[in-house]
Amino acid sequence: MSAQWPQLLYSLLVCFGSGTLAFLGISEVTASAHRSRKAVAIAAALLLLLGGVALVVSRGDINAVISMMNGATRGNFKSLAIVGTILSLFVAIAYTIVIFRADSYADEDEDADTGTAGKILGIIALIFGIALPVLMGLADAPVRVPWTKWAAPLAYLGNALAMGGTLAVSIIALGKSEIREFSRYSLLALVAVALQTAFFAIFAGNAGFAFDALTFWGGVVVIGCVIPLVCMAMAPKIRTLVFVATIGTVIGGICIRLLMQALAAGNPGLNLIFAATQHASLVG
Amino acid sequence: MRNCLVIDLDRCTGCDSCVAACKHENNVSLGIYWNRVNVVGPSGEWPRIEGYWLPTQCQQCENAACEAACPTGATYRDEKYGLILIDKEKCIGCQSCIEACPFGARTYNEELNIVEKCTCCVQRLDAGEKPACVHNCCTGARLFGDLDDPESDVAKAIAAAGEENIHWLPDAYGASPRTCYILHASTATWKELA
Amino acid sequence: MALNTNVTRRSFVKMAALAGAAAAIGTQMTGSLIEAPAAYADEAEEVKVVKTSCHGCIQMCPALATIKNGVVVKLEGDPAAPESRGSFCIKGLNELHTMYSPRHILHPLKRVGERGGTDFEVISWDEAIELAATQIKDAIDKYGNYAFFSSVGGGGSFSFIEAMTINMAFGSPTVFEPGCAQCYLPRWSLSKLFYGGDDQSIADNAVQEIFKVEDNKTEVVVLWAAQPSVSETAESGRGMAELKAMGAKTIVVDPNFSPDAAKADVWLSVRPGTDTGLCLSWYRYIFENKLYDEQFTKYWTNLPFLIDPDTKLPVKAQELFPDFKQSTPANTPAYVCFDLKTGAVAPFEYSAPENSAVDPEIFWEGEFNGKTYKTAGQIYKDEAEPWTLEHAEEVCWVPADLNEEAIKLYTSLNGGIANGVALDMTESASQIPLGLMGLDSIMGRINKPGVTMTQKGMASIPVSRPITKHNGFGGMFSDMYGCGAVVGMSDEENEERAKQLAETRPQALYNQILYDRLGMKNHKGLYAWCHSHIPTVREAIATGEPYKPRVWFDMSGNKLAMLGNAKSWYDVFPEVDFIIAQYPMLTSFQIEAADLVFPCREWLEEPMVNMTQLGTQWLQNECTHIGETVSHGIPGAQVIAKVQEMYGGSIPNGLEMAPGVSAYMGQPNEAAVKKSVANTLGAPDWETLQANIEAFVPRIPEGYWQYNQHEVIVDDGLPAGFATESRKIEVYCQILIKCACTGYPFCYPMPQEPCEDYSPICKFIEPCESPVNDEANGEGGQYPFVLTSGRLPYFHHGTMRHAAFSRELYPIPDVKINPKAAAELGIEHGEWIKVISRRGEISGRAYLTEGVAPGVVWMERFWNPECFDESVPKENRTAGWRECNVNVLTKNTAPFNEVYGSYTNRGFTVRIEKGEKPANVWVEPKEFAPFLPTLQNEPVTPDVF
Repeated sequence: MSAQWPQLLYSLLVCFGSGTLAFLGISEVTASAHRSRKAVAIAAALLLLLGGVALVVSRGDINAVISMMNGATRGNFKSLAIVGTILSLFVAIAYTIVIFRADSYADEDEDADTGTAGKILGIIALIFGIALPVLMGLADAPVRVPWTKWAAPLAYLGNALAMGGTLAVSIIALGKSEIREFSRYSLLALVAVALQTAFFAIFAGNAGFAFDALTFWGGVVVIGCVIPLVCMAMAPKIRTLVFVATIGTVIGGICIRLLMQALAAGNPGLNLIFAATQHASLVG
Repeated sequence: MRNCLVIDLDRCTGCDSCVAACKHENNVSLGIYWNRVNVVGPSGEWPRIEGYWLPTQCQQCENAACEAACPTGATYRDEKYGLILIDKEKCIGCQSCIEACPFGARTYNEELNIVEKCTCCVQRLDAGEKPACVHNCCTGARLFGDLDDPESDVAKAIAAAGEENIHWLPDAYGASPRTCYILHASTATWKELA
Repeated sequence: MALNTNVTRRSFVKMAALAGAAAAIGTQMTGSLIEAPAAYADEAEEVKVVKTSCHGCIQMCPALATIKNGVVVKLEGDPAAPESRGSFCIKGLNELHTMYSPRHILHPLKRVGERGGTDFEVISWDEAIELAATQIKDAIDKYGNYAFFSSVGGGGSFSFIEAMTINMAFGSPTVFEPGCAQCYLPRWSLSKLFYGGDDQSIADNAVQEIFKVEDNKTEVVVLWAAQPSVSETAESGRGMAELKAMGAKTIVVDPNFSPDAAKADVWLSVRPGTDTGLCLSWYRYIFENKLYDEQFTKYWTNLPFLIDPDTKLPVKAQELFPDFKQSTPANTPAYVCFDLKTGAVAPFEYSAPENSAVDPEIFWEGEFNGKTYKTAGQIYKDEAEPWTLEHAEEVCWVPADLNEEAIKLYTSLNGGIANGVALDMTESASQIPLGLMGLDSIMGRINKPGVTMTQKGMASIPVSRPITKHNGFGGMFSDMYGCGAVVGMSDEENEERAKQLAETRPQALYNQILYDRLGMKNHKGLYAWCHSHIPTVREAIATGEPYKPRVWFDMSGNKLAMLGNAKSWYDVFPEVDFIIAQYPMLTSFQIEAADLVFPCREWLEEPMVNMTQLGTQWLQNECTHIGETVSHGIPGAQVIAKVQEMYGGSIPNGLEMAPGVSAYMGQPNEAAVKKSVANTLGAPDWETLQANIEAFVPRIPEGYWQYNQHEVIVDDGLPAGFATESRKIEVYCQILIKCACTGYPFCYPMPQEPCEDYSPICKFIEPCESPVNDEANGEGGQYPFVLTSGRLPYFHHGTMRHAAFSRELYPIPDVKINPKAAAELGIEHGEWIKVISRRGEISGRAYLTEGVAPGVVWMERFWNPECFDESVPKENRTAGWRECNVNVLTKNTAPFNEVYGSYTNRGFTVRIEKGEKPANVWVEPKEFAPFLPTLQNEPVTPDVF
């Protein structure tokens, strides 16, 4: 089966956006990195929006996407993930509005005060930012590969935080005004990448490494984990490496999703109607 | 109420009448099948061999993974017959159910962008008739009815066959398929498919 | 018979005449020339369910058709049918793909351009009849009556009686059918010669007892070369499933692991063509272990008769005992046996067993008056003697233990043998039915509950000495034309009868036709169905010797898919001046051969009475009718009427039942067809029948199940016995000896020339092309596989290849090959391969299975109508008979079966090579979209004639 790209991009972008949102929440809750928050919020909103677009593209029809939310009340993870995406997008947009308004009231060299609304939105952003990748993992986990039911959410969460974290650090780095914040956040991002590496390892362990070698060793392990780890470790010295780390985690995110699709396709269950079409005996 | 098909493999001779009956009744497109007949075997070595046919279609699972997987609610358990069905209006062709079905009983119809599967010919049930595959089956191998009703064709056949001759498709994911297969060892040994 | 010229018909002709221009297949061919009759135009939606019968094979299961505004939208089995019980097979279901197929021919077509092209012109029925009649009359005038010939066969639009009488109507002896000697004739005809009763065929509805719904006494059935679950899926296949469910055992003799074999208690995978050897091993085992019914064999079979070693005929009592005066009538001869009571050779008079003066020994050899005699039983025993289980294993590839298990099962339980078509397709076509009927006979399984050889219906209850008339179905031609001896009458009675009939019947002309029929000198058994010997016909077309058939009227099917060694036929097409091919569908034969095509009705359009199911008769209804199609018998009648008109009365030398009444047995118009159908079902007319179908359908006969008829005491005070010369079951088929000499009882009173003797018992013949003979001929290993073929549920003969829902499931032939053999050739499952015989090569896909012996390959016949589909560029089109058609491989040359001239359709040698998909052949389901029905919007039309 060839890769389902729109579907993959939807999952990736939404998780990317979620991870970013989570870091936005961290910054709000911990009242840090004030000056990069606006950009981070815009990035989260944009990523979630792009994810939504990818979803619509993958379904080819906005009505289809709307009806896909029907299952939310039944606890269908695909439905919940869409609802979560929309809510997260609202949160990101709302926060962006709040911070823009706060900014307009604040003095030039003063950090904007987002107030209670900002605090509440920040907490929600943190919760959604963590919950949405978990939901997405549950939605993407192939039903016929039972262990993915818990391993995929973990892997997606780790990846989301790694992508979001490295992106947040990258934005801080671009801002050039928060050197102290940069070191704190690169440490946080390093932890996220380490977490991702651990979750990917758990995932790989369960999969028994029965993967396409290039995607797994090249995409997930080397580009997705090792390089970002090294980059983030060295980031305090060479700042530009955070951009490499971000790209690395995104590629890792793509590759882990490709593996997820391969797992689904590789476990067709007893595809008996297909088997009969092949005109062969099921048992020799 | 647990309506489903029960298939007597001692009788089935793999003639594919059920496939054509289904396709004509339900206007199923070329290349798409709501049911198929698989060949199992022959096993052994010529001339001492055995084999049987395994007709498959939606197994009407108790814990229907397809229903859980469907994000739009297009796949649902209907109230009248307790069958897992697809509401074509609601289906958006996302194929989550195909991914979820442990038995490959569902097919994606590209032209219509919907997923299709056996409906036990509800339109015929409404008219008081048996599903087309059951009605036309050339060996009387296909039965339809309520497992919970001791007077139904399916319950009677199961009772007559005896527990040791009743088989199910392997239920690796706890779906609990309702459809069961009757096969006596004197016809052929049931093969556990993996 | 005058041409029917009603107004409706004329208006058709007018409209048709307006069309005219040349048309390509698929476009103009289906374009309607008829305006929609008002009936359905503005009517509100009308849905009705109509009782009818399928005609997808010869068993004709009762069916229900749902008709919506004149269009048949659904078909399903009729649950009221006693044997099929609502079952309906894929052939029946896919009639919706046939009836409304873009390949259904709706109008008479005249060829445009060369044969082999796909261009035809739509012409009117008047023009078509005129054209056919002119061609036939011109040929008769120029070359004589024998220039005409007819043929039939191939499935669909079955026209057997029409084909075998139209030639006689034109005064020609020549008619053939690719089935006939290769399908059923040997088994059918021999049962009449053997005991004057019904044969052992399930497919042809001779075997009914084993499917009895209530009080079924069958405990075991031997399916010998038959696969009812495949060939007659919904009726006999259902019957077998019910029988098995009741606990009956089955033994299946088949080289292929057929569905019936898969269900069998014992499967004997015999080497193709060696069934006689296996059969003889059963005789040997049964004789040796005294498992036969001794009393029955002694008194109801002719095995105790002493056989004259010179004439091979049983000795009559008067020959050895000149003073012996028989007490029985002249039509019941007394023979001679070795009497165990007196320990001497003695006259053996016909009587009830308990009244017999002698206790005949079945197996005896000894001298009498200086001459050594054997009993018929001893002759059989000697023939069977080499056939130990071990010898059978060596020759027939059937393991001794399985064979023994089968024989024990067969002999220990009540039941019988059912034989199948594969047996008709080898040189042993006469020997094997003799053997199989003989087995049931020595087991005493005749006319008893639960056996296969029984006689049904009130008519089977005898009142006088049973007789058999042998010419035509039920001997109808014996009476109509006064030819043919009646078996069961004395010689004097027959002479007298012939003399009398000569005065009122065209006996001399008919007898001459019999005498001159092609191939009859050697293969006189063909007389039973009045058919010519196919390879001899082909030879006559090619060489003009002894006369040249020139104008051909084919009455159904794809001859190129059905005739053995199809290429050899294709090669002689240019020798045939004009070819008429009537059929509902367009096939390879129409493309390659036909100059004129008459459109026939599909079974959904044609009124008929079905084949009966457990004696009950059902209606095949006229569910709808589109275009200008006609019932299958009508074109022949119309053409004959036109030729008669051209001659101003009778056709010179044409066979007639009365002056101006031709011998052709087919109705001239639909009204006559309908009337006849209605009357058969007990309705006074078609309208009454249609008004109340439920009242007339099914027609259930009284007293269908009858037993022990031979024991009934008849008007001469003797038990009825059997309709043979000896009044017994002639397990030693003595009449075949006479038949070889003179054509008796068929070619009578004027005899045919003698030929070599026919074997009166089962005898082993090593197939001409076989691993054994190939080795002996120094060709060992060149063609290392024995090919046999068989049916699949999707198709009946050449039918249904255009049915998209069948073809998507079975697009091309699977060539079954044993995995070990395939491994040696490096061939994998699903791979395209070539199958090559000494005649030609075809393609198929390897299907690896342990279901065939390592030295055997099996496949279905096949042909591919997609090869001339419109979607194929014109220059690439082929007629679809060379790609995957087994009959490119089959052997239609000598040695033939001695009695019936059967050639070798199965059990010849081939080799296998890797191959590739032929260019025009479709494989993927979606490719078959052009075959999906397109004619549902055709207006429903009234009868043409």
